Amino acid sequence: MKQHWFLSSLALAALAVVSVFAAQAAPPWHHGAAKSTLNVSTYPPNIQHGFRVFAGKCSECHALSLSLNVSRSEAGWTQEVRRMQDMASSHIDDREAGEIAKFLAYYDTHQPDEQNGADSAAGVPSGRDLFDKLSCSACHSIAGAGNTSFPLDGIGSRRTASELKKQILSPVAGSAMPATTASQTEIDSLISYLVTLKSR
Amino acid sequence: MPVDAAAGVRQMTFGQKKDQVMRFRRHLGIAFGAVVWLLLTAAPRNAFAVPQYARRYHLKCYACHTIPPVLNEQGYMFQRLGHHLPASLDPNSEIERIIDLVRKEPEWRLTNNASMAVSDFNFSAQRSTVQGQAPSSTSAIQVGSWNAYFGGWIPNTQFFYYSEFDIVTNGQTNPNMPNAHIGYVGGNAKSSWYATVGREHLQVTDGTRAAEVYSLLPSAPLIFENQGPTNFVLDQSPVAAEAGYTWASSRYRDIFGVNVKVTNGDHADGSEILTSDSSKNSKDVWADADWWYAPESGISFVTYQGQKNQIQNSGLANQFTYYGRIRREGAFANYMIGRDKVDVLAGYLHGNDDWEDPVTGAPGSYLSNGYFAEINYYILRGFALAGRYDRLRQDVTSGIHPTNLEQWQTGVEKALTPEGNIVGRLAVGNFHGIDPVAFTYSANRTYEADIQFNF
Ligand code: HEC
Ligand code: HEC
Repeated sequence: MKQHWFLSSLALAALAVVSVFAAQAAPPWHHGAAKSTLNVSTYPPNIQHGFRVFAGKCSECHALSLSLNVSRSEAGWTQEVRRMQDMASSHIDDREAGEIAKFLAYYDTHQPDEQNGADSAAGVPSGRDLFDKLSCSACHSIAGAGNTSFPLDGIGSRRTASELKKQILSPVAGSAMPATTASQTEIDSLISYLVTLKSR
Repeated sequence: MPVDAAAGVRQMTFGQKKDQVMRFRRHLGIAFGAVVWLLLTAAPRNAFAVPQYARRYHLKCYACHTIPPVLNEQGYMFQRLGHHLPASLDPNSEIERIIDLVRKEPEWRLTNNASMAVSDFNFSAQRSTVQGQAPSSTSAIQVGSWNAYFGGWIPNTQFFYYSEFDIVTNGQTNPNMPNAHIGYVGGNAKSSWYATVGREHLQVTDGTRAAEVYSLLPSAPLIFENQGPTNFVLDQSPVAAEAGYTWASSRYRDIFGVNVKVTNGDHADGSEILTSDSSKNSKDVWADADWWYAPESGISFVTYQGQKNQIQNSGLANQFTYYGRIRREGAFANYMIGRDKVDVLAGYLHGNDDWEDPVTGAPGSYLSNGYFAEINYYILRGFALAGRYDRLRQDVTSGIHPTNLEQWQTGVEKALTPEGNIVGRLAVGNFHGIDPVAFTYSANRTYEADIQFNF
């Protein structure tokens, strides 16, 4: 009986060690626990409240960094939050959605410089670089750079993120535009850049 | 007076060997303490990896589970859409076709399709009493289960596949493959259908929350796990052809699903058709209908009809075989209240099987009515308390009838990583009742602590 309990304790200890080691390496998308590094104390009180709602609701299915590392206009955020609301098993009501979109839009325009372009932390080139890298510039231009026959200036005001995604993944049949072979993360990064191109 | 008789037996048997019980309790205390300490201190901040689907989309386990392995509404839809993430159903935007969902999938990679170690380390201590025998206590610390999964989609097609390879089951190394099927999904995100063929579970997770075999507690409701005297149990994995249809309203306010499966069943004696002689006809049919009528709340109706050879008195001089009909009908429902904090679940399953008396061979029937009621209280995301009461009333022609089996369990469950892929659990359970054929009374009390790893 004694020996049995000794073995049990040994196994428990081994288990503890395994679980601690398992905890060592963080997955790539988990960089910077966004919550702790984000200092919102200088934000207006209603935005701070919006942050708390955001931190509670938007961390349920994925890390907060997924939201904090992409950039959208206020309308873009309202739409993105709406999309999250319309998913199965989402528990976000309209009032919360409004507060979250306000916070995200505020955060987007007030974040410290070194947090800009945080996408590169995950090893993905910025959206602008991808525009060249993925040869979009062979047919399209942005601010005059690239092939000016099909300018994409102001595309963010004309198209939503999901429309862009559709265009890039499955262009209208018979059109000159090829479907991309880029990875999901590259496409996401490219789209989050394209939606920021607003018409003036 | 079966209930009083049972109480008498219990008193008699539990009164014996007091000091042994005391010693048992002390050891139990130490082990429980050690496990509690482990659960509280070993909680890692970031998990190193998560299983295939979460890895594929960079999502936490909670995107599809309340606490793994219990599926939520999104997990249910993910499964029914052939392992593709359900699109957001905004009433103002165009409905995506399944092929659109396929095109949005990240690149196919082995790591996004295989989950190598879904394992459960557990400590359990049990004290059992069987009528006519001295009570016994056992305890074990072991790898309770270790399974590997391979599930995903064939790139750029609407085909999907799923297989489960079990290396360790109930602490025994016993490699087998209870699941291996391939399917096709068609339609769009709102209105879709699928068809699969292969080896698959008869019941697991076909249905809304209360109809899932998975629970926050260590054992599934008695009505799923209990084997009736005709050797039939719902928790089995035959070879099947299955088809289902799913419809979801805008924003997933309502989801309707129907499913029909034709299986080759298992033999009535519990053996499997694939691995043993298959001269017996054991075709059977399973159908279920599900309605999620509020986020995370739903109702499921199930029916099972089969007919198979049942051997009585196997190996004895008076062995005989009859071809009995097996029928099950049930309803399961859950309702989430208090802003998705408290889940109230209940289930009912009625059984009506043909039965022949092993002694006289007289024809008769086996009737059963099983119930359970369960409450899950989600204190925080990934942290829940659960309690369940099960009762199975069985009535066999020519038996002492009816007899009851009763079980209660209560436990606490907590995810130890932010993603939710390592889960610790403590539970206490009690089971007692009378075997409807052998008429013996037995009881057992179980203490369990386990830690489940999903990589
Ligand atoms: C019910 C689970 C769930 C909740 C809650 C949730 N998300 Fe998501 N989110 C997802 C899933 C699934 C995806 C990936 C699939 C997709 O983009 O359609 C995703 C993707 C995203 C993306 C990446 C979109 C892109 O274009 O790549 C952003 C940004 C995002 N979520 C923001 C949020 C915000 C902000 C909130 C809080 C309002 C939130 N999420 C809450 C499930 C959720
Ligand atoms: C071979 C030439 C070609 C390449 C390369 C190409 N496109 Fe296009 N794209 C077109 C054409 C032509 C159209 C005009 C609409 C159509 O016929 O589909 C178009 C349309 C679009 C539109 C829709 C514009 C609108 O106003 O709705 C977007 C967005 C777009 N392209 C983005 C991209 C991106 C991003 C890339 C790089 C991944 C890319 N395209 C690569 C030829 C190209």
